[in-house]
Amino acid sequence: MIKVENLHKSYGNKQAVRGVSFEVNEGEIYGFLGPNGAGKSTTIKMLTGQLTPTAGHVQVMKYALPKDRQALARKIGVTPENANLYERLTARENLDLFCRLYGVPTARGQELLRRVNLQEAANTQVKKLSKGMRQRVLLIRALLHSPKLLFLDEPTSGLDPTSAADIHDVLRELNSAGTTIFLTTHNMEEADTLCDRVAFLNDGEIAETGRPEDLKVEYGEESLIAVVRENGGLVEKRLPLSGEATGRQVGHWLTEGQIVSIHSVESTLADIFIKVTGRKLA
Amino acid sequence: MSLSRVMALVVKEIQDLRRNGSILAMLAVAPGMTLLWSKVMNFPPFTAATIGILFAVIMVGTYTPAMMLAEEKEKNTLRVLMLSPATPTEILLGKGLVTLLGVLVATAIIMPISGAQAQNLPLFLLTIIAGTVFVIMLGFIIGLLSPNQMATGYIGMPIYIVLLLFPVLGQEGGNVLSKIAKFIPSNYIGDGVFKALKGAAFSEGLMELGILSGSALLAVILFVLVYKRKEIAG
Repeated sequence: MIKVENLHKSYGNKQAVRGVSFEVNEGEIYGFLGPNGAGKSTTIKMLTGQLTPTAGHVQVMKYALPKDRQALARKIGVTPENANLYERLTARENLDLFCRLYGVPTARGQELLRRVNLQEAANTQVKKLSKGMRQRVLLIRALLHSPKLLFLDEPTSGLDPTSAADIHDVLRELNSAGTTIFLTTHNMEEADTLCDRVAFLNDGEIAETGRPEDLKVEYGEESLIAVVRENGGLVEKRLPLSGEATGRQVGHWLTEGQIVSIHSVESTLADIFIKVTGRKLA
Repeated sequence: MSLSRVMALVVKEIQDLRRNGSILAMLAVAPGMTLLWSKVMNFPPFTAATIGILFAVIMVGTYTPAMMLAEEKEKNTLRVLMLSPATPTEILLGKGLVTLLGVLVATAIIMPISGAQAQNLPLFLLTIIAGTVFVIMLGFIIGLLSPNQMATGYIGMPIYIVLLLFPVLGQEGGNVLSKIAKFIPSNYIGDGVFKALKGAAFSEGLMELGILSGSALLAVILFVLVYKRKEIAG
């Protein structure tokens, strides 16, 4: 569905994207993960024809970019990072405009508003909607023409957990119906929950790529976390899950009656990202 | 080009304009000034109407497209439009048509306020349309050059002043301003409108129409040159 080879983008002397290559298969949810400034939005703009690469090859569906950007624009759905809706217009008026531009009945907008429980906000000006509601309107706008490929740039950035979960439900439903989704995020939990495959982007380069579960097996370290009484207070201790030293230490705490709680934990994608890149995601 | 997409964009611009206080205020300026000139300062009907329409064409015609384009750039809505099937020509046409409609509405309000009647209606309308197309293209250039709405003020102000000041202050004739005004295309909006109001024959207004149409064409060429350098979405 998407094929990218040795993609570069420079702004003057600054290299935003440096030799990125990857493929996204039909029906996948592919996550591009990285901190702010890693090159995620620049990449998504090149994949959607908004930016011309400095070098490299991009093929999206059957279209070569940037040459076929106009033809591609009609086939894909894009939700940009900024909530760029017409704020003085109502949600319905925003959607009606894009229905008319794509040549689909305006009833399609109403149908999608109902699907994300926004029918009561249809006639409310966008500037009066909450951030979560705006994000849902943005998502709907990208779905009006039923695209087979959806690009989402930080789809749940700044949303409360409930609104983010609503968006995730819609994305899973779309993916089940066959929509391929390319998303960027710096939220590793989101990536873990949604994505079939992920790529870690750091300083414009892909540092690692794979299925979340495979990455956890390859890089993960299973640990044991114990909360123990020490010097009159409670202290959290992290130890390897197996090994003689762990056994001795836990045995000691048990004998002394110091353990308040104990449980095992597996590495998260955030842990693995730090391990691979040496950088935090914030 | 798709007519249905242009109409969709026109509908959107009208829906937006109804709630856009700054553009609505701009639409009200020329009729308000005409009321002042006509009822308080007792200008003759033809004079009040001519200056009122000149104000409407220049202020609404330049300011509205500049603000519309700059706001779309500032709020990143233009990027989404560019990702839709709408072409840059359709997007600009939608904004241009709504601006022209705004000028015609302001003119329709100015006429009864001033008490004037257009004796040669075809010449009257064609002069206003040609003049408006010229200033709309200037407005689009200001919008392209402005990174945000606020910038349309300081980038556009010298242009607004030149377009308005010389034709109005050069009315007396014989002075330096009137000589300079002959090189300012907007001067011919006032001249053409005044002739049409007075009932001049169509042939008598052809010079003004020709100058305004030629200026509009030059403004389109200038716009294309600026567009190629800046690109519509900045």
